[in-house]
Amino acid sequence: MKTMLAVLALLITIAAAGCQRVQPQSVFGTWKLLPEKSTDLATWRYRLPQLSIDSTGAPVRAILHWMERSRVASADTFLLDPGGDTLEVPVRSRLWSANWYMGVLAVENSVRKVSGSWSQKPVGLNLTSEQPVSISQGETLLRTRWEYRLDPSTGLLTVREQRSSRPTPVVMVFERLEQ
Amino acid sequence: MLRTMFSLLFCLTLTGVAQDRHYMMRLSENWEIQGDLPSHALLISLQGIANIEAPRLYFLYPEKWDFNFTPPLLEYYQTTRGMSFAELHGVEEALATLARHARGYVVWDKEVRTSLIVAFTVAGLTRSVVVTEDQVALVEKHGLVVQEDFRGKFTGKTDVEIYRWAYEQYWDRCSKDILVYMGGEWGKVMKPGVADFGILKQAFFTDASTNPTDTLEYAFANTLFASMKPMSLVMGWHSYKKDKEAQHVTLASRYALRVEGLHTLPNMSFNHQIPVSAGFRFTNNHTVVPGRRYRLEKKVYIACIQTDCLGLGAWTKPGRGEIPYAWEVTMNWSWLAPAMLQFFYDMATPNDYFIGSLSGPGYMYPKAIPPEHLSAVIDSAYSLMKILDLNTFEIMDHSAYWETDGVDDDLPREILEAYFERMPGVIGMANGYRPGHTFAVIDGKPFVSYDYYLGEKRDSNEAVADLQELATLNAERPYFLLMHVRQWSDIKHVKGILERLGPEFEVVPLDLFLRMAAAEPTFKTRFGEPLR
Repeated sequence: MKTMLAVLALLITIAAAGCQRVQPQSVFGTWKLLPEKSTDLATWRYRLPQLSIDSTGAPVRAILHWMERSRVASADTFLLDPGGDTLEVPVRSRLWSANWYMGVLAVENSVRKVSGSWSQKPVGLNLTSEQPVSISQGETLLRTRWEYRLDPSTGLLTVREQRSSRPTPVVMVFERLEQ
Repeated sequence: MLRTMFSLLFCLTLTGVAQDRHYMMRLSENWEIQGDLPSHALLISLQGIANIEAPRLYFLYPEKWDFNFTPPLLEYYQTTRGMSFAELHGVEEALATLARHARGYVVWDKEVRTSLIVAFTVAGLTRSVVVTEDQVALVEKHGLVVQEDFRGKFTGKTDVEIYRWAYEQYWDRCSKDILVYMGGEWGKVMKPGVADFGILKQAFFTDASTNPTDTLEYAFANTLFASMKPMSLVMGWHSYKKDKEAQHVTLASRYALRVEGLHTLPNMSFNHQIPVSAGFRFTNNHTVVPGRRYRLEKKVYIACIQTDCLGLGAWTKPGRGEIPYAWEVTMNWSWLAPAMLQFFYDMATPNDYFIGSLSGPGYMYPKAIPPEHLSAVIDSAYSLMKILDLNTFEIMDHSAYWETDGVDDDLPREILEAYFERMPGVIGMANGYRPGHTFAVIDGKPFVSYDYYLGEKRDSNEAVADLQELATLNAERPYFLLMHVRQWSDIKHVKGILERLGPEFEVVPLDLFLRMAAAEPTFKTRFGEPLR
């Protein structure tokens, strides 16, 4: 009896370990930022982004939830039809979450235009966005390219954000929270 | 020679500085209730009492204390005022030397932290030191008699119940000019650096919440503020546990009260009594020459302002004087601690430029100040600026900050016009904390909001990229980039960032920056919403 129980326990352990090794190999899911592997983000009140990517509807939807502990303080939504038309996403808040230290605001009631395509479906996705922003000299158009890459070997998702106005990219590395 | 000696003696007699013996003590880094707080609280209350008639006791605060200038200021007093200090070691020696200035003692309850805050109120009213039960025998040995005993008195009571009781008992006898918020750290720690001054001035002590959702404490805080004279001081700081700085300053401003931080402000009962040296006048380091025309280039002009009060961070750190830097002056120190402010002016290098702050004669939010008090607030601030030779002023308003996710620190046109009208000698004003969005030129004088906030922990490479990105987004030249340097950033760090920006960028003194911005403003005029 004792032997049977030990064998059963061993089988359960092996099965569980096997399940752990089978990571979902796609960018879809919910992702938590790893600050120590990412660029220093200048966020308000140390908010950290949590990324959700899904495709339950026709377009792919990527939402950056800016978290204050467990509370969602604000959200940036990107709707994307990979390889298809440019989609327009309404901007409802002046808050420009990307960098709290810079004198840049989003323009309330403007639209963000988003387009993109799979570079390697479903582990590599490219987005470009255009959105008007308010600065001290008035308004200007901010163009951003986003590259989402899942590394199957580590299970980590790297998002490389390159703004046309910035000399260096902002790199965010995420680990999966849930599918 | 003899005449010089006589005149020196005469001066010292006039200032009252050399008449009494001075003592100094070193305080440790431990401020926990179960650690050194009981000793520190006793000593700080003794300081408040012993310094009533003359400046007798001065503390050297530990290295990690918010205000880091207590050692150099002591040295300044020694070298410029001829003061000598005998060092006291421990509570026993301090009591043996100075207990004769006290009448009694108040016992606070280590199980009820708030009892210490009430004990400070009683200490001022009864000329007492504050003690725990372990220290009773010690103070009685020095002839002190009990005035109040809070052991077990507040057990099970909420803070608002305790404060209401204290208000009933003591408010009528307390100062209506100074209120002390004994906030800041919470729980097992308290850092009551400013308590000596509150005791000296017989102030009421509290840390009642100014968060409207804490309905009972908020109502109590309103009662207190409404009972103060307009324009009086709320010294100390809000509780980091109970409410937010913006809530605290907003509520104080609604009663036209001026906040004068922090709870850790050291030695004020001593510093308050040391005047400026004979013949001294506060003189700023102005760069702009009146009437001279300045040639502007197609550049990015940067000016740096360090906010959050003199003496909190970088002033005593390496690098000061190496680049042009503007410093917020805590203007009330001109009458609260004149020699202490002279200390900063005397130390200033030609690259250190002082500016008036913050929104008034103290820390206030103009949008929250009742309109009938705004003129008096501005006039009072301007009179301090004239004493201190300041011609640039800084405003910050976070009264709508938390409701707008930190976005709204904008000011309406009518407020800007009121400031410029009542401060005719200013050459320009700065605005904000994080980047602000109000920009204008009024009567030929610029009002410029911060375009960048340099946090002390910001990665240097990213800070360089931030500033370069701002210069790309704001493509017109000259571009005027006003930068707020958080007080904990030392100048070496800031300089290292600025040096990497490239030849298009130029760091200039703030007054020159404002003069150039007035001559060729490339920012877009923008105001906040009009007041309702």
